[in-house]
Amino acid sequence: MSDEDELLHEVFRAHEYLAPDPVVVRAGIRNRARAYARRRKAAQAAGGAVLGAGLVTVGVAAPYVARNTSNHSTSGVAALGAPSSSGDATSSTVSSPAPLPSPVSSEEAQRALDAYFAAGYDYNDAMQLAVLWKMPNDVPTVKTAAGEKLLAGDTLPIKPSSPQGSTSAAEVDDTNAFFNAGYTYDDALKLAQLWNLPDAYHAKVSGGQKLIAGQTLPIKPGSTPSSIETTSPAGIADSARTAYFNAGYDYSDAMQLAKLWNMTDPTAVKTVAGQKLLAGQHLPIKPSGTPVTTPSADETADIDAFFNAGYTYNDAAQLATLWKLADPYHAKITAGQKLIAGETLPIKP
Amino acid sequence: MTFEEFIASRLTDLLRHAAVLTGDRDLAQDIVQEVLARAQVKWRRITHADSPDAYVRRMIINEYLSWRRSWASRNVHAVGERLAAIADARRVGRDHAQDLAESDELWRRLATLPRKQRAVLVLRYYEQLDDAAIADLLDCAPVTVRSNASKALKSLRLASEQQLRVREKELR
Repeated sequence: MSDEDELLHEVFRAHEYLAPDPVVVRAGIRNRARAYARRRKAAQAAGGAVLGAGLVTVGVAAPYVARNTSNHSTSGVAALGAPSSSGDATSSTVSSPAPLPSPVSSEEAQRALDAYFAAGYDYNDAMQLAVLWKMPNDVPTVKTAAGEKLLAGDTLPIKPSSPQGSTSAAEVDDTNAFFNAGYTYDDALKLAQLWNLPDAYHAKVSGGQKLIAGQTLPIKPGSTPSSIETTSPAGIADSARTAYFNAGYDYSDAMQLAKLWNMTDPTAVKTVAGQKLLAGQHLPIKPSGTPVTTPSADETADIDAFFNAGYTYNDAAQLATLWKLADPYHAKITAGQKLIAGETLPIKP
Repeated sequence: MTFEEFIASRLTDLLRHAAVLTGDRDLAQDIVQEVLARAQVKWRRITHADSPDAYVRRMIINEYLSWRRSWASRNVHAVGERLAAIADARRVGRDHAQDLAESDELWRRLATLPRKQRAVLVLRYYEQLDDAAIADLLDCAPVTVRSNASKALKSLRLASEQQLRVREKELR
């Protein structure tokens, strides 16, 4: 092996650390496989309806069906050399039904959930983890995955909202009783207000105790509208990061927080920090910059244009120095305005 | 072999492979989740293949090559982010600082290569496959593999020479 070959080999090996967390990936696979299985089922049902609809529909769909049938025949077992890079879920609608993805057993899932709640984590934490782990719309899976990690002795990238070690087995039972009755995290928030309790966690425990004792609660299960936009973790992340920057925090603060929280991804740090700020919590460090007022629509468009062109915070800092501006924030706005006007910037993205 | 058995024995390696291939943890996660979710749904068919592992690896490579989302802008790992890890991987007996700078620079330049060229280098120098095996995985001729490798190495060397020239100018 030449020096050059060896250097390439070593550089690649040195970056194996970028490999994602297997536990999180497994949960993500389950999440997506369930979606595929649902889509297959729906497509098969739709296929039956199409067949029943007669010649007109079949005539319209014929080219599509023919193309997919062809793809299917070349991407099967015989053609090991050519698995399709996309569209498998669609093309497989003509194949025999595959077994449904097998999630972890219900006992394992329950054990994982118990571990998750016993460690002091709650629904709000699961929402944060869902953003960090890119598992949209599947907070239950996030909780299970997080519990699996805890059972395996791993730590999670965020700290629990409730004090660790303060959750007894009885409290776990109370919480389970609360959720098993169909109540939600938002119901718990509402009950905490009604009962004048410090947080949702205490409401879940009290609510669960009452339910176990055969009492009824003052609100119906699931009757509280969601306070969190659960359909778009990406939207949650964006809002959180906006809150982070608006509070005067910047990239260097994120690097400090990353060290404090033992996290490696500054973007994830900004998201978590922003969510804490939105929840009215304080961060362990003060912001480097001054809190900004909410940017106007124009300023937001300028900043978007800046980042969409591939520029980064470091570029903004460099531009601020070049243009003798007060801070990188103003450099982003000025640069964005120039980009929108079709001008080029003095540095490359 | 069931899908669960496959995951238990192969997932860690597949994740490392995807991470090195993409150079981006998030993208590696997206790709592996996507590919294995599809593989799970059609696992019965995949188990009939000669090597399910090779089949899934091929799916990962194809997914990477066809990934439409623009990820270049996200691929901005801080240079020197993992100096210690790289230091451990490098041979002793040379100036460490120089080695680290060289490794970081090379990693940064690898990120600028077209995906197919990068994939060829990963398969050849990380997975240490021969050109015939790479051609089989990429579904192309061995000569195409050699051509891609040659172009990639040329780009890396050219970039290196250009940088040397810039440094020489700066020193003058």
